[in-house]
Amino acid sequence: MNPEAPPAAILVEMRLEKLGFVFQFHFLLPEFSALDNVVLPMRRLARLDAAARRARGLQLLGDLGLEGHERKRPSQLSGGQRQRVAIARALANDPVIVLADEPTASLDTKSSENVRGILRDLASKQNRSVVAVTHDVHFASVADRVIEIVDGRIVTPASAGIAANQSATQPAS
Amino acid sequence: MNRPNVANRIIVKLDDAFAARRNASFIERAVGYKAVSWQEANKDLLDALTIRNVIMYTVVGAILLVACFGIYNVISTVVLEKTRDIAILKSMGFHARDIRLIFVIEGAVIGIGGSLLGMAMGSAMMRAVEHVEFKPPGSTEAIALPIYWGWDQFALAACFAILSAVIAAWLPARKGGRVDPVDILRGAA
Repeated sequence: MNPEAPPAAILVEMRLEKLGFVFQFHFLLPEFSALDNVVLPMRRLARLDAAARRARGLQLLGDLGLEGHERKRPSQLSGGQRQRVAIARALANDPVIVLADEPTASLDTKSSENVRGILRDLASKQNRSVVAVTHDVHFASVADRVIEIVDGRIVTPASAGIAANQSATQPAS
Repeated sequence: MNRPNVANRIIVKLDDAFAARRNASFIERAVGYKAVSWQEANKDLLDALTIRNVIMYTVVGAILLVACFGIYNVISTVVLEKTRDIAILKSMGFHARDIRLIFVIEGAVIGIGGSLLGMAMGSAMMRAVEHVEFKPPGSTEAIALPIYWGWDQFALAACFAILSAVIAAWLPARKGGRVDPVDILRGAA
């Protein structure tokens, strides 16, 4: 392990403040409503008071087209809706970087399209970095930069990845 | 001692029963006759009561130990069941100590709930025992078991029960705090 690595407690705080995770499976807490799932990271950070947290949670869910579903449990939502709740949760503490691990792998084409568009907007409209791992070439095609990895080795040089998606505006997505 | 019309024993009644030792030695010094407090006279019986107390607390301690294992078991199972949720919370930015706190609180809630329920059931049992009448040898009247209703014994029992619940929850809570989110979330389907 790198001796310069910051202690675990600082890493945890960084995760809380700077990073948002979106997994292949939604990983929402099944006992909590959609809104409570989104509010949870804000409660942990405790930078906003309860009313502001709630307002931000509703706002995030609304932005992702989930108004009316705030009170529902994850089991009452569709796969695409759950994944959008998970994205809202990842955005709760206004992260700098969103890390996504196969975010569309467990979704049908339509939901997958939707989630892809949302992640794309996070980078181009909200000025965040989105790093996504995917097997889906179509999903990768919207990225500003594509790094291909085959059997654990990078096969596309980083510069070539940028060249392939020249039309994009953000330096990294 | 077999002379008639002579007092050979004087019994002194006191307002405060526990002042007997002090008063006995005072009387002995003042009068010169032997004076024995009731504690001295019944030393064997009092020793037996002390031993009875030791036995009682040992048995209660053993029962609490068994209850501890029960709570340990419950919280362990919950920690295992919730491994994925713990991993999610940690990926979000929850500290190991936050996770520990959750399960220790769960243990404390079990402890407090159990104490309240136990005190209610215990009181009911005491009420029932109070109605048991029996005739001790040498007595003509049937008497009921004397029951002590002091709040201090309830408080003592509840404190120990809650404390043991928290200790029993602490061990599995520590295990929960050590969950590595990467291991769990990467392997989950």
